[in-house]
Amino acid sequence: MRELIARLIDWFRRDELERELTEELRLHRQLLERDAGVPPDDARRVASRRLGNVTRVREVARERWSIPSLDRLQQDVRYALRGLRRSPGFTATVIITLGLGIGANAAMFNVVDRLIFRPLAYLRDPGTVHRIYWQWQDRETVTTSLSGPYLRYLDLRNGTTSFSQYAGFSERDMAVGDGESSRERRVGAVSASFFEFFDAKPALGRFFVADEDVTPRGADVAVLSHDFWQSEFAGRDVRGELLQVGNVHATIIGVTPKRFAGVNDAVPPAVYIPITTFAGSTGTNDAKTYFSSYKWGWMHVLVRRKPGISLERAEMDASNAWRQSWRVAREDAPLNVPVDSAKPRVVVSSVRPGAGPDPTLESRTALWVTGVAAIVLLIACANVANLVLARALRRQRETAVRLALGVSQWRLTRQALTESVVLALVGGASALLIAQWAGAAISGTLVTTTTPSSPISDWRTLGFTMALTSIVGTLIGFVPSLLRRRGGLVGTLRGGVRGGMSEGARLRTTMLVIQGALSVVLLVGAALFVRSLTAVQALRMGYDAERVLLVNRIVRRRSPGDSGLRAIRDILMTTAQSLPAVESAAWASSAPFVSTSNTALFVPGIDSVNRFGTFTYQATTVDYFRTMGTRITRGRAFIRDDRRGAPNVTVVSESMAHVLWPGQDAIGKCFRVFSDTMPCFSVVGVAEDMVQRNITDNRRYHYYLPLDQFTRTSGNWMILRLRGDAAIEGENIRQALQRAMPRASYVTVQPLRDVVQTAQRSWRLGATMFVAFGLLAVIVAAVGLYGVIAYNVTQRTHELGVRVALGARRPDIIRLVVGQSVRLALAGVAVGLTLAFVLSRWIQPLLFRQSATDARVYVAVATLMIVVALSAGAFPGFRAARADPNAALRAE
Amino acid sequence: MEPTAKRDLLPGMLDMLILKTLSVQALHGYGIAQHLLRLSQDVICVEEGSLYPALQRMRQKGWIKAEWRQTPHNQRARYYEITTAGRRQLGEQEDGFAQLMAAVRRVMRHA
Repeated sequence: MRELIARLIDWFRRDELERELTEELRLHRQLLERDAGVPPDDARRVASRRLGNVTRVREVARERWSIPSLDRLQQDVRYALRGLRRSPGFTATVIITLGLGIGANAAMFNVVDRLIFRPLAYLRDPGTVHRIYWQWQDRETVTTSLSGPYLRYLDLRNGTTSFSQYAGFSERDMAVGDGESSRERRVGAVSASFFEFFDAKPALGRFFVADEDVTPRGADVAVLSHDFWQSEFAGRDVRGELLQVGNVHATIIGVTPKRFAGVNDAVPPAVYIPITTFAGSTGTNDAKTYFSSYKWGWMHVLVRRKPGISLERAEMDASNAWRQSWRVAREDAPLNVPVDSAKPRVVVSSVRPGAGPDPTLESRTALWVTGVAAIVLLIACANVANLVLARALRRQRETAVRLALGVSQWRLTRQALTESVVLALVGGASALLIAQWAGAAISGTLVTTTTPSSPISDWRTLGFTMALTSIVGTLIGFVPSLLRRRGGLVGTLRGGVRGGMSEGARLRTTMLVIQGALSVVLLVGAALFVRSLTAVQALRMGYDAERVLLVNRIVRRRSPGDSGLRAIRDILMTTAQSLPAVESAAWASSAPFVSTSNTALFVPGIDSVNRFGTFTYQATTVDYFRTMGTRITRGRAFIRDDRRGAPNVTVVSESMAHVLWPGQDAIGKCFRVFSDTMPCFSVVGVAEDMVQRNITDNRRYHYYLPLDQFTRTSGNWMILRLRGDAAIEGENIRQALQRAMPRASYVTVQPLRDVVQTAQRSWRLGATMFVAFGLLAVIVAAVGLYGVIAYNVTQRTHELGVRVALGARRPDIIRLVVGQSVRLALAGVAVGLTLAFVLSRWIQPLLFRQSATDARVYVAVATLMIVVALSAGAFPGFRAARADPNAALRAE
Repeated sequence: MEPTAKRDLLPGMLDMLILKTLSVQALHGYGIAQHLLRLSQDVICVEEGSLYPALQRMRQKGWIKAEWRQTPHNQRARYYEITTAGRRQLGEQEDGFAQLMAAVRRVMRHA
């Protein structure tokens, strides 16, 4: 082994070794001459004789540092490079095509790997660690949830035997730090047992102990993440220092090791606090009841399966525990669906939700885009194979001559292989650059991650790219040998320029049809996604997101009490309304896509409103509808007189009015909220439906209550309609409001338009990627088609010349050439549309109000392909028609 | 006296002789040849055609290492030095050689 390495090193410095040997031999000769002690002339003769054959010495020595297979490889590489330099057009096309194809895949691998596959850092024995997914039925629909109440976690822990470890966790964005330096950061609220899932040693101090994680409220301690510790505390010994985390005044007890990210490496927490410390300090009623009531579902569960327990057994065990827990929970909240119809079931699955039983739209879209990227690669490969084949055909006579001269088949194959691997390697290198650039764009639209990932510095992506590159290179390298196997040597030599053409023809036609078909599939996908995105964007959200700014008010430390909160609210409202940039302002208890609230609802004459779905509410102030731009379709909006003491009023959404009182006028109806002993709220207005959380869900049951009449929550959100752009004015407004806030509290701002765009991003991503890849595919396919037609025309120069000489007119010749192109395209369209039709079943769920088998889309794509084929054929056609038949006939 | 006509060395013996020579001091190629010639009283005349390839091979095996230095006469020469692996190898070869010689002697005495 050692000797092999030494030989390899010597091989690389063999020129230097050769020089050294020459010098050594010269010295040897000099010394011989000196020691012989005879006259110089004689001495030289004697020395020469004694030294023997110098050339032979060198040859024997040289064998020691030559490695024949390496020498041949080097020779092949040189030959390949020479050949590629001679045809720069071919080389550039292949490298760009492969670069795009492989690059798209490398970029998508990087994304999908992070969403689904990559093992979490430090996780011990990852195969046995799972996340708990709660699944239940509500009539037809099956709901999967990641979070549940603390009590359910305890029930699972006490009611199962299949697991050796349990931990609860919940990740929140909370204000960390004091005063000016406070920032919103990701905080991980975790059980003390959470860290035991990992083989992680604290970089400093220690992790939580069981005594610090107890109900009703855990100890005020915090563990910092390594990055946060480095950036905010410069890595000093922070043990014992105090850090404000949300409402908790915590003592720092430790620091996680580098790269530790818990179970979320996309957005790793900056700080960890005990889960009971978090729950016991929320400042709401939940803090007092979370360990005695099932009402608040907020935390995720991590488990480790005992050795020898199968997943199925673990799931059965956990499901039994949950069924028991459901029965108990139902006593707490009798409105819930009975256990027999809810059929609660626990799925014990991947820690990464992207690989769980109900993957997010993001990860599903990412998988689809990966499929698209793979198709692009297939098209690229087919195209490159075609180009390589055409090249091999052009060189067929050269090949035949070399075979006749005794070059072995194997050697020829190896040379072709070397050439294609060289091409693929250069293509792979450009692919990495493309992936680097595209990766940034993709993670920007697809994944919200605080740690942007660079494919070049990530060894998993690098390895994937390398593997893909070698596979592609090898496959393409074998293409020319497909051709050689059949053609008879003698025939080729005798056949002249026109000989042996038919062999490659069928293969290349097949490749073209495949390319065309795949392009059609992608174009159909692109058209569907673009129409779907248009539908999403055209959808009336129930508000006018332009120029609306969401302001989140966060009060920390001791709760200032109801009157204190109202005071802050009034100050902020007055401040906001005094700003010239603000047109109108309202307070609200929730904000679209950011937070929604629901509570028990009691409607006279209806047993259980829950069977219709979820009813969300908004507690708000007078100008809310004007500020949001939500239209009141019947009745009235809130007025200043709708305050505490006045009759309770409410506004409901159109869908809600329709489902609760079908065929009746909603105005004047009444319902109770929170508990059935509360006074009735009577409907005074109906507002248009509003998209709250889920764009695709049509059940938009939503009602509005005057904030003053509904005291359970005081409203954390201020909604401002601005006179100018929310993104531009936002920071000024934040500063103005911040100055009005008490010291420890602060506000954050966010344009509503950004929030809405984030919610639409999977559709936007689908549309962008399909269009980009679809266009790419069509261009690649068009280039391929053009190349093949043009090539055929050159091959048929003689035949076409004969035709012209026999009286064929120009249009005939053009029709002949273009016809071939169109026939190929038609075959591709037929295959492609069939394929698209078959695939439509799977793509349908990703589309928004758009049929996956839309005939208009199919027709449009087919037309486009035929136009492309016409243009690809037209140029070579005209050239063929213009050619001088005399020249063509005389050429041989 | 003209050196004796080239006598064939047993395979592997040249390596052993070179290693033995280098175990005393570092030498350049010519020095090794001269050393062997002198100690063998002109019997072992290593042909340069075998010497230099042997040195290359042993260097690749890691038994010796080479270094350019100045000779006492201020000429640039490549000096060879024995390595730890080389000393181990030398020990093994010496043992093997001793056994072989003893065997040969026994055969010659009794045959």
